[in-house]
Amino acid sequence: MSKKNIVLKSSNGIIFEVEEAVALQSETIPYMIEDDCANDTIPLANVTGDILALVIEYCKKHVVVADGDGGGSSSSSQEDLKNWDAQFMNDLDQSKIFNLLLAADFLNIKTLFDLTCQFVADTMIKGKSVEEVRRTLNIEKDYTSEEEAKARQENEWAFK
Amino acid sequence: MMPSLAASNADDPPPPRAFNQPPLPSLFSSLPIDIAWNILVRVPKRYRPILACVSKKFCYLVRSPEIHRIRSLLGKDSLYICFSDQNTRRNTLNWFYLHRYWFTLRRIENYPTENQLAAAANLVFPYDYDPNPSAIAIVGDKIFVIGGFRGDEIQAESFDLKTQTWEQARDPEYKWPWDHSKSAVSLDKKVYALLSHEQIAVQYDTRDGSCGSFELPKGDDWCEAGVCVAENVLYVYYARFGLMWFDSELMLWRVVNGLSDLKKIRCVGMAEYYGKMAVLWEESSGDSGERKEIWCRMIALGRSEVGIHGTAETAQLLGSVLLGYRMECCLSVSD
Repeated sequence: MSKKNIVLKSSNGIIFEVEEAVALQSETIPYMIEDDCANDTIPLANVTGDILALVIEYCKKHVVVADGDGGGSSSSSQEDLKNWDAQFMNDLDQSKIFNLLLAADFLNIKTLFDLTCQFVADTMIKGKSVEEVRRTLNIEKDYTSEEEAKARQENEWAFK
Repeated sequence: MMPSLAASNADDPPPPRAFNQPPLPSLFSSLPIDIAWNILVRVPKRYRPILACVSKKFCYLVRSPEIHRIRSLLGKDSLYICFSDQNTRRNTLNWFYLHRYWFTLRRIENYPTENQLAAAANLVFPYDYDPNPSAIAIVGDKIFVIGGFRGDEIQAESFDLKTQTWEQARDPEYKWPWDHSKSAVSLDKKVYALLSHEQIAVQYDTRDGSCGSFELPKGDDWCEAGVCVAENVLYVYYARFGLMWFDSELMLWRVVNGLSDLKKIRCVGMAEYYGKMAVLWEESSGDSGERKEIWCRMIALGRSEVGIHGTAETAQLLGSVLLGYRMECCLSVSD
C-alpha cells in the first residue's frame, strides 16, 4: 500500500512534504485539496515556514498514536504524549506561541488549538496579579487611575 | 540649529520613555476576539475579577456572555446536588443516620441548553451520623462542612475535590447553631449560612475561622428559602417576596425585578451555572405516588443603575427522585 504524500508551501515559500495522515489532522487542508483539484502543492498564505515546521512536528507526533495498531492507545502513550506536549510548548517563546495559536486556528487542528490556548492561560495569566498579566502580555493600561481604583474596588474580594 | 536630544542638561526632565522606546505591539491584543475568548475561558473563573482590572478590553472580554457560551461548550461548570433519604431516618434505630445521594446537573448532548440529573461520585461525609450536614459550601476547590460535632467542639472540615480527601479546617470562632442552617453559600473565601430561627446570616472565614453575622429580610416562609451567590452578589429566595439580592452599598435587601411569576414556585435550591442562576424546586409526579419531579429554571441576571433585573427561561424537568429524598444542598463547581 503506497502512502500518499502532501506538499505544503509556507507563506515565505518553504516547501514541506508530509504524509497525508499527518496533514489531515488539519480540518482545513482537505478543503484546500478539493479546491486545488489535488494539485501538487497547497499554499498556506497565513503560515510562515518556522511555524509550519512546528505544526508539522506536532502533527507527526500525534499521528502515530492516532493510527497506532488496534486503534486504542495505551495510557502510558497518552502520558508520554502529554509530557511531549508540555515540553514542546515550553521550548517556544511568546511570539512563536501566539503564531502557533493562529496557525492552529487557521488550519483547524483542534487538539493543537486547545493545547496552545491552555498553555497561554496557564503560564501567562492564571495566578498572576494585574501588573504581572499586563507585563507578561505587554498590555497597555488604558484605565485612568480613577477607573482602575473603581475596578479594583468592585473586585476587591479577589485581591485578598 | 536643531536642538539635540543627546545634549541634555542635567536639570532637564528625561525625555518621555515612549519617545525613545515605542511600546511593542501586544501579541495578545492583536489576536482575533474569538481566540482571546478561547484563552480566557481556560483561566479558572476565580481569576476573572483580576482580569477585569487589567484593561478595558479585558474587562469587556471577561464580562461578555460569550465567555459563558464557550465555557458551556467546554463543560466547565457543574452543579452538585445532594439529596438525603429520609426513609433511612425512619428505618434505622439511630434516627440520626441518613443516606445521602449526590447528583450532578449535566448538559444533554447536542442540546446545549437542556440539562438533566446524573448520579455523581458518592461523597461520604466523615460524620454520616450527624443529625444535619450543617452548613455546606464550596470555596475554591474544596467543599466546606461547618458545624459537625466532635465531642463538644464544633468542627469544620473540607473535602478537596481534586484529591478527593477530607481534611480538618480551622475551628469556627463562634458556636453559632450551624445545624439550624437551611442553606449556605461562599463569597470571598467565606461561608455564609442562613439561620432559620434567628433570621440572620452568619459567616465563617475559611482562612482563619473568624465569624460574623448580619440580618436577613424578615420572611415568614423560612423552610423554603434558598440562597446563592452569582457574580459576587448574595441572593436569597423566599416564596413570599421572590428573589432578593443584598445591596452591599446600601446595606439592604432588594427584590430582583422582572420575575413576578417565579413567586409561584417553592424553591429548594439555587446555584450559579454558566453565568445564570439555576433555581431548582420539587413537584409531585403525575403518574405514581413514589417519586417526585425536580424542576429547574435558569435565570439570566443583569445589573443596571436601578438594580438587578432577572429574565427567567422556561422550566425544565431535570429528572425524578424518590418521594423520601430531601434536597440538602445545591453547589456550583467551576474549573
